[in-house]
Parts: sequence; structure tokens; C-alpha cells
Amino acid sequence: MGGSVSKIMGKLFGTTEMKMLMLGLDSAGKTTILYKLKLNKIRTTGPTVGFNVETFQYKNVKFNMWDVGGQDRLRPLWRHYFPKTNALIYVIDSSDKKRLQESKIQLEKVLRELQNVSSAQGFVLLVFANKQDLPGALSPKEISNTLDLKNILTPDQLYAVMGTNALTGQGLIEGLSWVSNNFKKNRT
Amino acid sequence: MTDIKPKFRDEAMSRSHGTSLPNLPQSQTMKTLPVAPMVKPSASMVSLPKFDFVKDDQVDSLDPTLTNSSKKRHTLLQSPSTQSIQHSSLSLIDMYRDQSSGSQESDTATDIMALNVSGAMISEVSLINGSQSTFASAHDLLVLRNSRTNGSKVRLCIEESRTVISSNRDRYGFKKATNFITEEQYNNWWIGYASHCARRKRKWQDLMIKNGLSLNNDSPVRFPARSEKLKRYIRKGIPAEWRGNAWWFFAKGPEKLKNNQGVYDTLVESTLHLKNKDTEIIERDLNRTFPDNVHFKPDRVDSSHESNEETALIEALRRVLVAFSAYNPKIGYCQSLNFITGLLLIFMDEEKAFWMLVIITTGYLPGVHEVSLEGVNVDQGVLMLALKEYLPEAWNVVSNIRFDDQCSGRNDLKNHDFLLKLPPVTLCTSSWFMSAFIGILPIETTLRVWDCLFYEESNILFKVALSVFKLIEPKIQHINDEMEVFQVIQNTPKSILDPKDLFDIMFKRRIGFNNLTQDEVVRCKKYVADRRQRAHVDGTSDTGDVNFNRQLLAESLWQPDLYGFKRGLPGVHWNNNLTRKMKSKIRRNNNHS
Repeated sequence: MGGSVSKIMGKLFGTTEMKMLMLGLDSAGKTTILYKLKLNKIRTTGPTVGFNVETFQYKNVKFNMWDVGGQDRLRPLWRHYFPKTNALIYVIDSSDKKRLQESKIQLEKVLRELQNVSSAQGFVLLVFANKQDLPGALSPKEISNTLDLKNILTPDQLYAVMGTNALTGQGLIEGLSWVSNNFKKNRT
Repeated sequence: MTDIKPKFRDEAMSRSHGTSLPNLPQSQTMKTLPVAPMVKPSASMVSLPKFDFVKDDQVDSLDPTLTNSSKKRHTLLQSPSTQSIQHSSLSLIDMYRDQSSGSQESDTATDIMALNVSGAMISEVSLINGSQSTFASAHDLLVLRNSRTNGSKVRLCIEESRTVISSNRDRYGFKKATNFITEEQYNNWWIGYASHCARRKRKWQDLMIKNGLSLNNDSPVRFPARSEKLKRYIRKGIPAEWRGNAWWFFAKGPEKLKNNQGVYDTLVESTLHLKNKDTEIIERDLNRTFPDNVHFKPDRVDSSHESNEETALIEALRRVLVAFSAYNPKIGYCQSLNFITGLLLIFMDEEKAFWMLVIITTGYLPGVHEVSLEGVNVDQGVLMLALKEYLPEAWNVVSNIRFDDQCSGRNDLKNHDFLLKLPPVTLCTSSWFMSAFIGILPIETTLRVWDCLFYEESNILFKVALSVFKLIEPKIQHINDEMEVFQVIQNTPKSILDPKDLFDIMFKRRIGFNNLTQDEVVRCKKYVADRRQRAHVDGTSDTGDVNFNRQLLAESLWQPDLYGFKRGLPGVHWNNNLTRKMKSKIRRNNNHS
């Protein structure tokens, strides 16, 4: 009953559903972001073995978000299973300059793989430059320059780099609004 | 031992060509190395840190006349430098495998004992050799000893603590409330469960006394011999205070430790300053292990107090994980080992925790944490087969979840092709096995599962997984959205606060998967491994980077294409009562006549 009502409401007010895949190196803050968005709570999280999947609604968009464990060793577990994806959220620890290059290589790898997956065609890319609160964190602009996304991506690929702080939630909602606005544009 | 050494040599030689490190004069290294640390215990300690710099290329100059034990020592001290080639076919574990021949064993034991550092010897060393580096090393060892003592103290403290309603944490230091359980729910359940525990403990005490075993001041070290009764007792829960000792006993830890006296101490000392890719990842995971446990992440008391100080258990966790990564380079470090080790450290001292980790990764979860992850894939294959066999309705839902359009269709279901490209649901279930349900089930339920695991072996993990699916089955029947199915699968186990909810299903006789014996699991694993290996040779599977054993493959070609579970006669258990009644009736009739 509840489901059908919300479906009708959805049709009337145009609820859309967005499927998002969240990736990034280990301890970048992916799980913290997920639960900040879902519960608006900060829970200190352990390393994710496997993945977390959550749905949450923001305004008239229902977000389905997959948060996949970051350790390189565990990649073989999921690399054959890219769920249907409208948006890729790539999380970077802005304070960890040493691993920025590693993170870049990883992102390139993921993008190459996603381009071969039919269900992920036409996705938008959102980079969260996370942990902006930490001293010495690189600004979103610096991260963007290092990633050199223009040269990795195809010219028609939409992307954005957003500075975030998962602990306060700063930047997260802005990122999601960008995704939902631009994904619609992308489709029409 | 003998057929491993030449391999090691080849490897060492091939590597030595590429190395840019300065080669020490060979004559010097080969003659002084094995002798000096071996003969004088004090000298061996002094030179211990230096061994971090032993080059791989020194191994090929090993004198063949050296005693077996010295060679073993040599490889032991090699461990830090061997790390750089951790994915090689040669594993240090082979070097350490419990020695079967008695003379060798005693030889090694004394050698390694000589390396064992006692407090008295530390001062001796600093007197003999006053150089800066030695002093630092002696200091390191002192710090190490203190840290290990502190770890033991914390564990004893945990053993003596009790879960009380007034606290927001349980006896092990975990927060009672989680994302799925409120503190109030926890307390309501605990009132009943506490009396269950007290009742069970009295039963256990009786059992121990009947078997003539000492309670050893509420910390028994020996437990009764295997029996149906004992199995029943374990399934109803081992007393929390006895858990560490009981796991250790039933997993055959004492035997393992007896054959490897002093190995852990030596490993820890030789890996004190080890830095490599594994240790880097370990460092990142240390402070993220059990952040909801006070012994791993203490409550911030006040801001003036140093909040960055590590707890004793975090320090122990680092030592065990780093030592293990050096001991078994085939595995190195894999996320989820931190949770397994962390939980062990709550219940036993670090040396025992280390050997338990060795036992778990070889006996209970073989291959699961190796780089190829093939062990976990095989387990998932077995789970999928079992799900199809025992819970067809749940299987029907989860097997229809497909992420890509290419491999849809029911054809591959018939031919067991789902074993080659595992269904997406295994994304979820893999982590159940990798962490042996830590963080998947609430802590008390996890502990009860572990009780059974060490007594009944790995089939328990499959039974737990199937029981969870039994609970999930009615919830996912009518869900069309794959995301929602995933969420149910992910969230259901996290809310099984009362172990009874799970165990009632797991050991209920009328539910089919009770027939899933350890033999059946082993047979099934072999079948799945074979299928995956053959497919790999044909190039039709996703097993990208697995080292395949072609001989094993040739042997296994007789394997049938489909797996058949042994099926008991339906209702046989149910009829046991009837049989008994009939028997007694016949007996009575006989008596009458």
C-alpha cells in the first residue's frame, strides 16, 4: 500500500531514481559519506570488506548508492559486477598527498572498465575531494589539476570535482544535486 | 624441506641479478652468518636487527653442509627481505610446517629458544656491545616486552568483566547499540540471555567435574573428549570466560604451539621495523579495527589527554598482523584478517592469537585470504549450490539478479555455469566468509558461531549462511527491485541479536541443510574447484589470476558435470521417535510372552 502510494506520488511529482557507484582508495571516507547521507549520523566505520548498499531520498530523487570496499586486494571480488550506474562517485582523501597519484591511476583503471560496461553507459563522474577539514588538505582545484580529468575523459563526459567534509556533510548534498541536475540534462 | 630449498635458491639467484643493493662479499656472508647468531645467544640478539639487511643473494651461497636447523633459521631471518616478492610461489609457511621428525624439531627449538630474549639478557647485551644501534634494539625489546604484558593485562581485565545494564557497552567493550539494534533492545534481550548463560555455565561446571577436569580457578585449559553431549553443550554456548581457552583447545592450538616454540617471538623481533606494502596497509587499518570497542578505540575522556595514544590491543594487533604477513607471504595482509585477529585478541594472548590465525587461514578458511581469492570464490560456489539445493525459493530470487545483460537466461543455471561467473549476490556473501561473520552478525551471535566453528569445522559457516538465507527467504519473495533484495540480504543478519533466532534454524533437524556434513562440504568444494579450474583452461571463466595445478586437473577429469548432494531419506529424523516407540513396544511384548 505504502509503496503504491509513493509510486503514484512519484509519478505526479516526477520522482526519479539514480543509481550511483562510490569508489576510491581504502580509508578515503566512502562508508562515512554513505552513512552521513543515509542517517545524517557519523559512525566511526571499519574497513569495508565487500560492500554497503543504501537507498535514500533527497527532494524528489531517490538515490541508490553502492559503496564498495577500497582495498586493492579485494578488487577481483567485484570487478566483474558493475551494477547499473548513472553516476560514478570517486572519493579522494585530500590530505593524503602521498597516495594521490595512486588514486589517479586507480580512477583511470575504473573509467576504462566502466566504458566497456553496457549498463553504465552515459554516466556522470563526480569526484569528492574529501577530508577538507584536515590541515594541509589539497583544494578541489589542486586535486582537479592533478587528476587531469580532461585528458582522461572523453570530451562529452560530464564531471565535477567537489570539496567535501563527510563529518559535517559539507559539499555532499551539493554534489548530489549536481549529479541529479546534470544526469537529467545528459539524458535529454 | 629438501625439495623446497633448490627452488628458493633459483629464485634468489634470479633476483640477485636485478638488485641494485650493494653485494656483501660472499665468503663473509656465508660463513659468518649462520654461525655467529647460532652459537652465542647474546651475540645472536645483538645481530638480530642487522638481519633486516640480509640480501636475498646471500641465500644462494648457503653452504650445503649446514645443519638443517641453521637453514631454517636463515630463512626465518630472511623474512623481511623476502617480503618484496611476496607473491612468489614459495611460501614461508612451508619452511615452518610442523616438523615431523623428532631430532630436527628439538634442534630448531633450541636454536630459536636461544634467540628468545629475556629481560636479564637485554642488560647483558647493552654491556657487551655499547654501540648506538644495539642500544636502540635492546630498548625496542624492552618496550616490546612491556607492551605484550600490557596486552595480557587488558585481556585478563576483559575476562573478568561482566555485561551490566547500566553500561552502554558489553563485557567485551563493544557498544551495545548499533545501526540496527538500540541499547534498549539490547538490554531487554540481555536480561533473559544472562540467565541462559548462568544456567549453561553451571551445566558446563558439572560436565567438567564429571570428566575429572580441573576448573583451574575459572580458567580451565583442558576440556572433555569429543562426544555428542559435548557438541550439544558447545552449540548452546561456551561460557564467555572460558571461550579463549576452549577455542584454543578445540582448534588444536596446543599442538601447533608445541611444534613451534619460540617462532612467534623471533618473528615479532625480526619484523619490529619491517616496512613494506603489507605493513603500510596494516597501519591504515589498525585504527579502523573495531572503532566501537573501547579496548581498540577508547572514549575520549578529556581533550588534555593524549587521544592519539595507541591501546595495548592495537599494538598487539599490529605485531600479530605484521608477523603473520611475514610468516605467510602467500597471504600477506588481507582486509578482514584485522577483524579476525582483533576478536581473537579479546579472548587470548597474542602468541596464541597468532597461531589461531595460522590455523584459521589454513584449516577453517583455506585459500580465502590468498591474493587470488580463489578460496573465497570456491566457498561461494559451494554456497550457491547448497542454496539451490536446500532453499530453492531464495535461490530463485537471488539467481535472477543480474547486473549485465550478456549472461542472462536460465541455460547456465542448468549446467552449473553460475559456478564460473558467480551470481552478484556473492558480492555480499563473500565478506561473510572472509571475516567469519564478524561485523555481519551481532557480536554475541558471532561468538556462538565461532564456538561451533572450532569444534565442528567449516561446514558451520555454510550452515550459518544458509540459516541467514532461511530468515531472508520470506522477505525477498515479492521484491522485484534488486537493490531492495540486496539491502535485505545485507541488513537481516545484522539484526539477529538473539543467537537463538539463528541457532533454532541452524540445528533444527527437519530443515534439509542439516545433512550438510563436513564430508559433503569438502566433496562439494572439490567439485566447484575442479569446475572453475577446467573453465579457466578453456578460457571461459572469470578466474583471472589463479595459479592452476595442471596435475590436479588431470586427476580430476573423472568428476561429473553436475553435483549431486547426498540426500537423506526425507523424514528419517522425524521417525526416530516412532522407531524408538516401536522398539520399546516390541520389547514390552517380548517381556510379556
